[in-house]
Amino acid sequence: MQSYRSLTLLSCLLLLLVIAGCDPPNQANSSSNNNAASGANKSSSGTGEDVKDSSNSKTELRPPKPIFEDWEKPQAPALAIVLSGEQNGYLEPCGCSETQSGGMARRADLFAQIKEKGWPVTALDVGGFLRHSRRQSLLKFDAIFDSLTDLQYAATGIGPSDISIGPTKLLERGMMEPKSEEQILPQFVSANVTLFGDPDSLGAVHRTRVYEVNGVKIGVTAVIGQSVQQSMLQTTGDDIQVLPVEETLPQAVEELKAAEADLYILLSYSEVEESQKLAEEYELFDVVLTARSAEDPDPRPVPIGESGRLMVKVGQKGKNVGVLGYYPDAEKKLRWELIDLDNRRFKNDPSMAVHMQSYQDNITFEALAKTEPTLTHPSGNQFVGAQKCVSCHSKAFQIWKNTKHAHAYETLQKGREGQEHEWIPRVNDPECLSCHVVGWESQEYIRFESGFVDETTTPDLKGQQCENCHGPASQHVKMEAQWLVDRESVEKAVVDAARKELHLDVKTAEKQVCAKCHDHENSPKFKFDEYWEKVKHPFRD
Amino acid sequence: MNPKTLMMTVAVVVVGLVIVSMVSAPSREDKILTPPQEQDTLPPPPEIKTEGKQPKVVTEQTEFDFGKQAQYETGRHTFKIYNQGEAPLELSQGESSCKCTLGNLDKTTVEPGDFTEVELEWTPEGIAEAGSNKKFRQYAVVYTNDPERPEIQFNVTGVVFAYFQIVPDRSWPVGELTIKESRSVKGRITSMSEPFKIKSIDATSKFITADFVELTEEQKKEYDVDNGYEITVTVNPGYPYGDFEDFLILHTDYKEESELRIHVKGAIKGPFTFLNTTRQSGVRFSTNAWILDMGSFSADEGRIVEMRVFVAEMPEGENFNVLSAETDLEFLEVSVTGDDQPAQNGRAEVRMKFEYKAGSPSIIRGGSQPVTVTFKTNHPEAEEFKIRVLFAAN
Repeated sequence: MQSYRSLTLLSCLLLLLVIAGCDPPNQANSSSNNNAASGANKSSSGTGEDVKDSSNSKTELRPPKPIFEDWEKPQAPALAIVLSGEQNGYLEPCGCSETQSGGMARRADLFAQIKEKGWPVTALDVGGFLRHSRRQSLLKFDAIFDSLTDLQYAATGIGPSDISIGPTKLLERGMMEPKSEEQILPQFVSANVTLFGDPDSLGAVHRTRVYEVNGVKIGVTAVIGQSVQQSMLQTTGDDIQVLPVEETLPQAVEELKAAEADLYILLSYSEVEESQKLAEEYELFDVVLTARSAEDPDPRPVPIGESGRLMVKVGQKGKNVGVLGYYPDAEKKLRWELIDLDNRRFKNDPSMAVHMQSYQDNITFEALAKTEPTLTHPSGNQFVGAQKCVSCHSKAFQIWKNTKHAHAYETLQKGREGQEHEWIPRVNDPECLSCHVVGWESQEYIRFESGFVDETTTPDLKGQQCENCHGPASQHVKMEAQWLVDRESVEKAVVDAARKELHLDVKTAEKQVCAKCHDHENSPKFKFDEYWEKVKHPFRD
Repeated sequence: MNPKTLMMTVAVVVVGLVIVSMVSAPSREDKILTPPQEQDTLPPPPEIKTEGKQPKVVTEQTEFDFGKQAQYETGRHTFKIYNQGEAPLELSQGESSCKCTLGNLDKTTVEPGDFTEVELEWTPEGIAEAGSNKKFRQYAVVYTNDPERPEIQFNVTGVVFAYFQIVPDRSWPVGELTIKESRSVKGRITSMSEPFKIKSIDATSKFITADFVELTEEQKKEYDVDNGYEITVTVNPGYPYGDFEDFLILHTDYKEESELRIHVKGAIKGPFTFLNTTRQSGVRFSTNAWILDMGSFSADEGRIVEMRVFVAEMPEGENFNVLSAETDLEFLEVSVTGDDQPAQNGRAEVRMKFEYKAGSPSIIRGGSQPVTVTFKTNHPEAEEFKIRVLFAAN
């Protein structure tokens, strides 16, 4: 027996040694699987928002390249000109995920970093500030322009999305009166956009602007190119007109030439190809800032001709801005750097918080959620809230109650974990509400008639609830109640039809429902199979 | 061996297996880097040595153009990284644009003379995803221990197209109209595949009508499409003052888009356009509800808020006049200047001044109890109108 025992122990030892000598199972993969599972469990405990990147993955990154490397060799630029464009409504980094780039607060930090270097700075924008043309867009336009004013932007072009909000806001901002003689207001410049048929646009839009910073005289104009005009609505209205470039730009060029500036810049809201043609044709311009580049464009400037002229791109959504360094005494007079406004090199400059606060205050003041036009739900039914569902679907309700979906509204009140101290609540903001409450068309930010209005009016419709996926349940609730009380009073077929109307299969959810909120921007790492595990509720009672 | 001993042995083996699998380092060959969303923490960037033998990164290409890429279709491209140096090349995954996936980085170590492959993939979900002009450029970075080239950025570029598209997008803002005005806008619906027909167009409002005509060959060439229609939407008088939003519903025989909705919106403006051009802190005017919030201020100091008001639709040759401006609170004075100027092109401009007089009592007038200012004018469309005023005079 003793020898058997020894043999067994020896075998075990040998086996262990053999195993130790073999390649182990892939550690990264096994750890990945474990973490994926624990991540799912953690998430389903439900502590906050849902419509955001909830992945636990982390990429350890090298420190990013410092900005403006070698820009002070042999000497600092005489002027730094920040160029931006096509913000497309993104006051904050694109999407809800904190790792994404952009935002006015980080842009303000870039300005602060430039000023810390002691470089004189000015800024221009090609236009395209908005994405939508709703009343909220007007308020956002104000917030953006108040931010640009603080950052001392000198001029901006006008893009199609800015035109789509109508002439009144352009008139108001264009006629804005400075608070003091020192205050620089961003002026609208455009060679080919006019308001109310007046060539001078009632003083709200200027054909050119010539101004001086640190002894450098800058001349600027802007156009909306033919290539972009063809994708805009053609209208019979004359309150905003976009005229052909070839008929209008030459006049602006003559005006600029007469001003004898040191540096000429064209803000070209055109396709890149057209901007390049304009840059080649109009040799006056040292720099052409083009719109319509990719969201994260090629950072390299495009040389135009042999004399050091450039065409530059800044992308979309304010994720990147470019800085032009002007070195009047150097052989190479211009340097260009496209800067990704990431969260590693740039912090949120607190000076911009006041504009976000004011924007949210204005949204509340205008009561947009209550007063904007609503949609009738295609089913004709009304939203009733999850509390009506619980009496029959108790198990599913219990699952839902512990998901992040149930707490989606709280995120709008308190922000994500770690953001609480600087969070500005956005509980009345339709662009946020549409994925955090019940009864909104989430991609267009339009409330259905019976959807969530505010915490007081519709307290039962907070959070992402059953009906956002299954549809409004008023008919189903009514039929079931009637059926319970008196089975003679309603036909079974009608009861069944109301049930069927709310049935949602997993395939449809995956293809048509979840992605309305879990889109690329707001949930960049969304994977249906993984996320479904956190919310699935295969119970009927 | 008795059962107890046998169980002990099995237990030892199992525990041993678990321990070994937990503590052993993976072999180099098996260090397969998975995409970031599938693992918790990626290996740290490789350390760059300044002395001794070095690796040397060589790439044939770092940029690939997909050309035209259809919406929702995934594009993939594999790039190669060669090590033409004398030391092993260590690789790790760096940042990438948020919509780009670095698929497979076969190896994290490439021996001298060897190579590895990385795959980039991207699926455009919407035209807007690629930017408003449909161009895209996505990137992913790979870190290396080559001191001459510590990172490699791979890019994929291209232009996204949709087989079926409404231009502009699905929202057609008609703009600001006067109550008697009729306005038309033109957009288009196009296809990059087989021909389709619009069967009919309905509107959710009786004040909206729509016509459609097939695109000419010239237009198809200009817009770079195979088929399509130009759609003219007309908003006729009938909407009340304020914003309007309705839908055009297009019925087509296109298999996947048999019913399309276009969001038509705009605003019917009254004869007055209020411009808050002073932008005092905390002062706001709701153009929707005609409520002026003068903000919070010291009652001792008082506050003046001025607004520029454009007045339209005056009969030709007549001046706009404010006959009276009365408030229901004696401490708030309202005056109008500039109404003695003749209208030009049917448009006049006046300035309205709202003054809470300095030294008046501390009063708060919120949304439930605003001060009402009643204006009487000679405007045929607005003989009387009211502005509600809110403030907190502390």
